[in-house]
Amino acid sequence: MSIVVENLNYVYNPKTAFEKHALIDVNLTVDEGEFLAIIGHTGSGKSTFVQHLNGLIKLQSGKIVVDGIDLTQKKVDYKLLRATVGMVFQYPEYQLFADTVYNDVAFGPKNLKLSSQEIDERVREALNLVGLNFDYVSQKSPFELSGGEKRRVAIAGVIAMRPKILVLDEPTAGLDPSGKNEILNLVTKLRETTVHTVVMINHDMDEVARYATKVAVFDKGSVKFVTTPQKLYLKRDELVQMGLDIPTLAKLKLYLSSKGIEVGEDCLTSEKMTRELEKLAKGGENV
Amino acid sequence: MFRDVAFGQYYPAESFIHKMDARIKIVLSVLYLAGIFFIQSFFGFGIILVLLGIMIAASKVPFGMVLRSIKPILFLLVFTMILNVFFVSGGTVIVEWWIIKITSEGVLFAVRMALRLLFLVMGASLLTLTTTPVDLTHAIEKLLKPLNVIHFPVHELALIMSIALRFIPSLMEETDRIIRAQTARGADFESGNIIKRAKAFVPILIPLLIGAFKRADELATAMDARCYRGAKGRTKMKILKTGWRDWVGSFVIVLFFGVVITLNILQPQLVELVPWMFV
Repeated sequence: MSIVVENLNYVYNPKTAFEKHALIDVNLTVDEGEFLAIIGHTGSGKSTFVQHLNGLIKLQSGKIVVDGIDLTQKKVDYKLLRATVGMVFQYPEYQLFADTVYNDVAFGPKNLKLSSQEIDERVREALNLVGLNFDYVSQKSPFELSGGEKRRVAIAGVIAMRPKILVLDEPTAGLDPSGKNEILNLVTKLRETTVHTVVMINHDMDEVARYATKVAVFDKGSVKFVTTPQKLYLKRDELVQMGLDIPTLAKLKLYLSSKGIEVGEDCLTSEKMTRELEKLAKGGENV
Repeated sequence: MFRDVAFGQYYPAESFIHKMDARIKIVLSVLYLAGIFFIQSFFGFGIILVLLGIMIAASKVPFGMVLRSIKPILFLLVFTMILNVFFVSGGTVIVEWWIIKITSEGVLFAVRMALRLLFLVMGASLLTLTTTPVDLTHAIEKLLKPLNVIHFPVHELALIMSIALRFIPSLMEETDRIIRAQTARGADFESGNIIKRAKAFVPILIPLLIGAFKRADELATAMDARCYRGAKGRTKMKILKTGWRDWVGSFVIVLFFGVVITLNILQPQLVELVPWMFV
């Protein structure tokens, strides 16, 4: 089990006029190899939740175990925790600071006190993974790059720490469609190489349906339900009530079903849906 | 990390003092502060204590919040007290050792000074605790308006103030965010010597500055796009109004000021009759 969270509660500004219960009895487990998507409204506690995973927010009550590291212990090895859980914040390009892309990506590994040889190796690897040409960008200032490139440099800065678990807070926000695809394909690629488990906050149901293996829906600080992208269509009414939606293809499936055409739950990409419909059409001809 | 900063923090509540006109509150605060400087005796400090108690009760701000405003000046408070104890002499000698001489007058002076500072800060913080920054700048703009005659840019000053106030929370949030992001990358801001710690802030300051410049640029464009032309012909959405609360508040503070001044003027006559009033 990669991440285990039990009865997690969190209150901002306790005992003041600004007191706010951000998390209420959150229970969630993520297995190794899973891709968990967290959806929910602004203020539903998603960001507060994910920041608990690498100790940026200290545990108030409840239990969290991340990759064998028990956060309820008195002495938590935060350095190890932060090397284990890589965190990509919303608009990560706003955290770039160094004079060169190289130095920015090397910031994390340097903080881990690695040898310069190891750092060099990791910077090359990370830039390569995010699809940037090392020789072309490494000595440039990060501020000269385009928006999408900046974001990839920022993600490389996290990957260079070689985390086993990668947490991303709306990694595609503010990008154009091709930029979005690039980032999501990058996450998929990372899952096949260095990163084992991914937790991603995302608002785009179609992206969730396409990439995630598990979906957790947050509402007003608690987990409403956990399901798979395939079963999301069953929760349409609940989701709509929360002001959320279901994936476009799940809508299509429901529409087809209302017309008496049943397609499988697996049709979460347009390719699969097309194939399924073609199959049904051919089957229809045969009858 | 920066959520604990109490300075200038508005405490939302529905209270007598919250509902007072910000202009009146500023004027009365000044009067209150001036009154404190006229007070020389513990009897006078007793009056302030009662007044402050009434004001805090009428503001519905928890006492702890008001008390928190003292934290930043605690060092100054202790420092001045120590200086006064050692360097003011008069009255009977309490301790004399080597070149150190502590006198009763010195101790009394130090205590008076400390009380004055405490009442000063607590009273002033009550103004910012009960008035939103927007109302505060609006009131300052109104109060400084006569300076327009000498071509003092009152409106611009108020605008700078309100923009600064508007962006303090944003910048704090941004700082918080950047600190979290760099901490997530293993940055350590808490250990090492001073130089090391100062260096650790570079990864925070640079993104913060870049962000601030970007925001300033965007704000200027947004203001331009909405035809901002300065003070000329500009109206306010919320107009400050004076009501019965302001009359009551003014009456209390003016009464306090009057009593303090009277005590000061009549001191030579009264000191023989009621000497305890002038300790």
